[in-house]
Amino acid sequence: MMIHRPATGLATLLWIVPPLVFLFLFSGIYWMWRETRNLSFQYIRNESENTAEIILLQLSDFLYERNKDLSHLASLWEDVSPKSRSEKFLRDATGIISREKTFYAITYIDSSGNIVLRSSLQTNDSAVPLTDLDLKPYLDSLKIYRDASITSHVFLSSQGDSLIALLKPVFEKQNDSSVFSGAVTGTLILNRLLPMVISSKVQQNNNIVLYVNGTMIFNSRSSSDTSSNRFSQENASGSLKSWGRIWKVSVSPHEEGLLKQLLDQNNQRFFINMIASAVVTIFIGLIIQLLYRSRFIRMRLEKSEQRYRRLAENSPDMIFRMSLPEGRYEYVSPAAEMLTGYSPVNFYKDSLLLTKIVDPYQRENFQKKWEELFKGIISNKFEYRIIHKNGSHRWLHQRNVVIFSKEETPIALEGIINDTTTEKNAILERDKLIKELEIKNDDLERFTYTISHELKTPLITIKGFLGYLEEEATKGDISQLHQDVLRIIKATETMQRLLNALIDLTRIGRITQKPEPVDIHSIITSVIKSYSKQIKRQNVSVEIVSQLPNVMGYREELFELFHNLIGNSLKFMGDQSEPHIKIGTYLSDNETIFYVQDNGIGIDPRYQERIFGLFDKLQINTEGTGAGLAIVKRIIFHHNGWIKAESKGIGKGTLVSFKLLLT
Amino acid sequence: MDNEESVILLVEDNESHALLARRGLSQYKKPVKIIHVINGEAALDYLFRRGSYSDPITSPRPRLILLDLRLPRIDGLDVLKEVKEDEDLRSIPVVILTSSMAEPDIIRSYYFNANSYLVKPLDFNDFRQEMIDLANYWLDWNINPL
Repeated sequence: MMIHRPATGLATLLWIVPPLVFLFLFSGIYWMWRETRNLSFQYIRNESENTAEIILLQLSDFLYERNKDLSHLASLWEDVSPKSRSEKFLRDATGIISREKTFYAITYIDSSGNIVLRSSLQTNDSAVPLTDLDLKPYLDSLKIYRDASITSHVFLSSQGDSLIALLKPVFEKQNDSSVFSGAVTGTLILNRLLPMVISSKVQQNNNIVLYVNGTMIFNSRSSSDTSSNRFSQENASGSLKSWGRIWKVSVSPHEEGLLKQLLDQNNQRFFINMIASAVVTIFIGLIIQLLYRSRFIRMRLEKSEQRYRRLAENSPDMIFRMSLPEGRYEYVSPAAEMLTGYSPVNFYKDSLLLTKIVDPYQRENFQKKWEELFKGIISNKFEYRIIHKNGSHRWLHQRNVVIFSKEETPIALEGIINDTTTEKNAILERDKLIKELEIKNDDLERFTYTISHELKTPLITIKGFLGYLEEEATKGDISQLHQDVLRIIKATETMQRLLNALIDLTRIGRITQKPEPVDIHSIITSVIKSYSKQIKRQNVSVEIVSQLPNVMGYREELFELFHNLIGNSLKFMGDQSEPHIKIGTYLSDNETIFYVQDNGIGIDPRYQERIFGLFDKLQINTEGTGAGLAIVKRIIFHHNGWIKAESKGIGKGTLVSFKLLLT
Repeated sequence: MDNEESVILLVEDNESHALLARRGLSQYKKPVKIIHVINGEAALDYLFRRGSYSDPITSPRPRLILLDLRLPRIDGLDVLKEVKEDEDLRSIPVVILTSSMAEPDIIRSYYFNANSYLVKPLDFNDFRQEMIDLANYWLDWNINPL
């Protein structure tokens, strides 16, 4: 499992985002909520203030209008004759009351405060307690001042129903001066009046309290909910000075009023917004996680891909992937260029490139293997030789893995090719050496038992005939004895020849000095010289046919080589009438080959292979040990050459060809 | 059979050895006819009645073949192989008589179905006795189809 260290800083940073977003949204929502709440209060307060003001103005207007009614009634005392005055007063007053239902009663009181005239909607409303009102000081002051300019006055009662009494003083002219004679009073019940005033102009559900000179005389709230009203603090008031009194109206929003609606709406919005922001936050968190994870995975993939690619790119081995069965290279690592001399591009262009550069003599086998691979027959590894672009031979070792699809069909071949030239050459060299050693060992073994056999042969003869010799001597059989002695002597001679041949044979290759250029022509001349008597006796013509090149080798061994070959030709000349021996060279495959040719008895084609074997004689009645050609072969091998003998059959002569290293 | 001379084919390139064998066999109680050939080619020519050996009267079928191994031209083992591959000749006992004690020779001889492998004794008396015992065993005691 890979641990992704560098991303931790980034990750922490990313995870801070959702809480931050939430905090931001929350503070925004909270701010909005508070602002809205404040505005709601502000609005309601403004509304209340307006309401208060309107109520006061309405009230003031109303009182002014009603005062005008009373002024009209008061004017009766100036304009109407005293006897029709009462009648007129009652008629007009009743008219006013029926028109303006707000009036409770209209009376005329004398200067002492006693009711003189009275008009009321209700007939038995004796309960109207004008007496409750402390009129006396006012009436008294009017008596004293007798000032006709004194206008109406308002009296209030706080007992029972809130009452307002308007007093319009009436002055009568007596002797050029105005005398206070009484007053027209109109009583109004605020409990009835104010709702009428309010209902037209003012928001329902507002709580309205009226104070006059600081005394509460009206409260639209029922007493029970006064204490529980949470908006009781949120009141607004207006005040007005009129009729010598300070009128004050206090308006506070009702429990179930607009403010509540606004606040509830605001609260609701706040919660909805909170939920929305929480959802948004979670959503952002999820997106971040998603982005982060995909980015993280991508980074991890990229990293691991990079790592493997680097591994492949830097590998000294050629790494490839080939899609099957099309056999197209999907990837070839740059090492291809070093291994084959061809760049990966060459491989991409030509998917058969490898087959083309395989050593021609291995091509068939390689193609077979290659085709097997496409069929899905897996050769895990194989080795082949290619010709590098620079012309050199390279051994490549290829290991394969076939990638199968889910359906078990091969879809790709992945492999690693490395250069095993050095190892392979070493192995080939070793194999060659082993083979050589095996041959040498075989040779040695054969040599050993050949020698033991060949040496034992005369020994058996000697011992055998010595036994008979003894018997013959005892019997005195002289003639047989003589023959047997000759056999014994002959056997000892054979033995000596064998020993000499063995010494010759073992001497070859023992020479420790370095090979030197040898003049073959002079060697052959001296060989011919050494056989001059025999040549003369057999009347053989010996001919050096061509110019003989110099050879790198060992003079003594080369002398022995030609001595044996020419000696053999002379020995097996047979009864040829015109015997001749030819020595020369010919060209074969651009190589200079030496030959010694005679027209002697030749070799039966069946036995041509055997003639170079040690002590192998084709004819037993000829002289010699059968070691001569074995020695020849050994000399040739010591000179890293080869030798072969050809004859078209008995009596058709022999051609011995051999290769030597030229200078 | 008894009144006839037993024929032994002696394949031996060394004339002295052939003479030693001949002398040893002459000590055998019955007269034997020894036909001596000096190489493998001649041995096969005789056995297959080729060339100068075509007359069955002068070249009778041998009752025993004494075969040396190291022969010129055709080697003793090749002669053995051909004899044992031939349906008619294969019943003739082939005794290898050689101076070689080399393991490969012994193994190969038996591989090609030699009936016996004898090494020529160095001692003169042993050699003679071996020849007599050989004749006794192969000509007297040993039974062969015709």
